[in-house]
Amino acid sequence: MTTVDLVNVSNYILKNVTLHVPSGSIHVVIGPNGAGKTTLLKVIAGLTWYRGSVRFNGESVDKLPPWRRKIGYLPQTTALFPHMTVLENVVFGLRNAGLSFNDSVIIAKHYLELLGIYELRNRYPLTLSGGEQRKVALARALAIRPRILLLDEPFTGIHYDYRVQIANTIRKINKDEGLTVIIVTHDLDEALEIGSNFTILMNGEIMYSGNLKGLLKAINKYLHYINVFECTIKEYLIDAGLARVNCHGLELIVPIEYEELRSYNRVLVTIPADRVILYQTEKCYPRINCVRGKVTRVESWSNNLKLVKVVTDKINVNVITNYEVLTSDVVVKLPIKNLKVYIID
Amino acid sequence: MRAGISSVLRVLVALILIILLWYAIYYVNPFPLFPQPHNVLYALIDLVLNYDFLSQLAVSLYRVLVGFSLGIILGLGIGLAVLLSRLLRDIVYPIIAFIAVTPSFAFIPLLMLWVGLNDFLPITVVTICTGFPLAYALISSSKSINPDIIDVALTLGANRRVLVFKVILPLALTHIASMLKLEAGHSWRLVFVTEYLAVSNGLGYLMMKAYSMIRVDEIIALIVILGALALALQLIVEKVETLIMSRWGMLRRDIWG
Repeated sequence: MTTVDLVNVSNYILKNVTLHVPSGSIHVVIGPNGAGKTTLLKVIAGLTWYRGSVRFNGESVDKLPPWRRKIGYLPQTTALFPHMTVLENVVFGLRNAGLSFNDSVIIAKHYLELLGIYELRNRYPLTLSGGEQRKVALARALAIRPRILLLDEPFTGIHYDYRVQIANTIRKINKDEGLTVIIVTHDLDEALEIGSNFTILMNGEIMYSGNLKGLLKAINKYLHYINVFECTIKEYLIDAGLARVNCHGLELIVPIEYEELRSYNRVLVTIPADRVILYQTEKCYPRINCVRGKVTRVESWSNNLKLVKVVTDKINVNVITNYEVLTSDVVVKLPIKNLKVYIID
Repeated sequence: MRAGISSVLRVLVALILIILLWYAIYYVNPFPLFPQPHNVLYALIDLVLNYDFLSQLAVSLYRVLVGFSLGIILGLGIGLAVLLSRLLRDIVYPIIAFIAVTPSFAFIPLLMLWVGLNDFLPITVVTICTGFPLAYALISSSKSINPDIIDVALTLGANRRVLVFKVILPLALTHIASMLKLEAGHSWRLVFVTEYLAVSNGLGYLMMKAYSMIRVDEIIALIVILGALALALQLIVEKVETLIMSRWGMLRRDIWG
C-alpha cells in the first residue's frame, strides 16, 4: 500500500510534473510517442536524473538509489537476462535481497505458477515467444514484492491470450495485496480496460489527471488520434452481438460482449482516428454508422498522413488519412468492427 | 552430416586446384627458389619426424598457450577492475585504449631490452598484446548492452559488484569471444616474430635457420604448419563460444550458409 507523489519534477523531457497516484490504484498514463511516458517511470524508479521530488507515502525517496526503492519495473523490451534461465531470472532479485537460494526458488515458483509458466523454468529467454517473455519479466518484477509496479507498454505486440492473462494477474495482485500499479501506454483501449485512474501526458506536461469521467473531455481536447463518444444504449441486438446507441443524437451500431448484456445505460464508444473511413462523396451506403459532415481543418500528421477534423451536426470526428482532401463536404464511416465500448454506469 | 561432407569436398577441390596451379607455374618457369609441391611435402614429413622440430614446436606452443592464458587473466582482471571502480576508469581507461590500439609489434624492441632475450620475452609480448585489447573490448562492450537490462538489474537490487559479475561480464562474453578469436591467431604471429628476431629456439628460430640455408621447401612447410596451428587455436576458441551461445539460444544462423 504505497501512494506515489511527484512534486514539480523536471528533466530533459518532463516539465514541472506534479502527479498524485493513490495507494492501491491502477494508474494509467496515456500519451503519444515521445511524450515522456517511459521517462516518467524511470524517474519514479530512480533510473534517471530529475529536479523536484518523488515521494512514496509522503516520504522523499530522492536520495535513494534504484536498488533501495523496491520497485518492480517491466520495460518495454522486457530486458530479460539472456544468459540466465527463466528461474534464474526470477530468482535474481530475491538473491540480491539476501534470501537463501531455496527460499528464493519457493517464491519464484509461486509467481511462475501464478502466470502459468512454471514449466518454462529451465528455458533460456531467447527461446521463448514474446508473450512468454513478457510473463517472465512480470514474474521477475512481482517476485521481489515491490512497493510499486511500473509497467511500460505491457500489452503491446503480444497475443490476445497473453494480454488477458497478464491483465488478470495485474488486477489480482492489485486487488489482493493493494499493490500500486502505474502503467504507461499509448493505446486508449488498453488503458480503459485496466485503469482506475488516468493521466494524459503530452510533450512532458500533464494535461489531465483523474478518473474516467473527466478523461473523455481531455481526450477529445488533447489526443487527436483517438475518437471518444459518450453514448446511451437504446436497444440490445442480442443475436447479432450488437447494440444500438445514441451519441449526442447520432445513432450508431456497436459491438457488445455477451457478459455485458445487462441494462447498462451510459457507455464510452472509442475508435482510433486512423480506423475511421473518409469518403469524399455525398452518398453513404450502407447507411449504418455513416454520417455527413464538413471538413473544418486539415493538419499534417506523421509521414504523409493528414489529420482531418470533421464536424457533423451531432458529433466531431477526427480522421487520419493519407488521401488528399479536396472537398469540404464529406462522409465519415465508423466501421462496427473498429468500435470499442466501455461501460461508464 | 551432408553439409560436413560437402564442405570437406570443397576444401579438397580448392587444394587440388592450388597444387595443380603450383605445378603449372613450376613447369612454365622453373626457378631454383621455387620448389615443387612434393618437395615441400617431403620437407614437411622430414620436419615432423624430426625430434628437434618437435621440441621447438613444443617450446613455441608453450609460449603461445601460457602467454595467451596470462593475457586473458590480465585482460579480464584489468577490465573488471575498471568496470568496478569509477576512479580507475577515469585514470586507466585512456592508457588501456592507447596500448590496445598501438600496433603490437612496436612493443617488441622495448620488451627485448626490458625483459631480455629469454623465454619470458615472447610470453610477455603475447600477454600484453592479448590482455590490453581484451580489457578494452570488455569495457567498451559493457556500453553496448541493452540499457534496459542494466536498469532492471538495478531495480532488482543489484549493486555494482553483482551487476558486473552476473550481468555485464556474461553478456560481454559474446563481444569478447570474437576478439579472442582474432587474438588467438595474433599470438602465434607475435611468438613467431619474437623468436625470429630475438630468441634462439622455437618455430621462428627454425624459420630463421631455414632462411639462412636457403631451404625454400622447408620455409613453405613451416608456413603451412604455423597456419594450421593458428587456425587450430582459433577453432578451439570458436568452439567454446558456440557452446555458450547455443546454450543461451543466442546463436545466429550463418548468413552465408
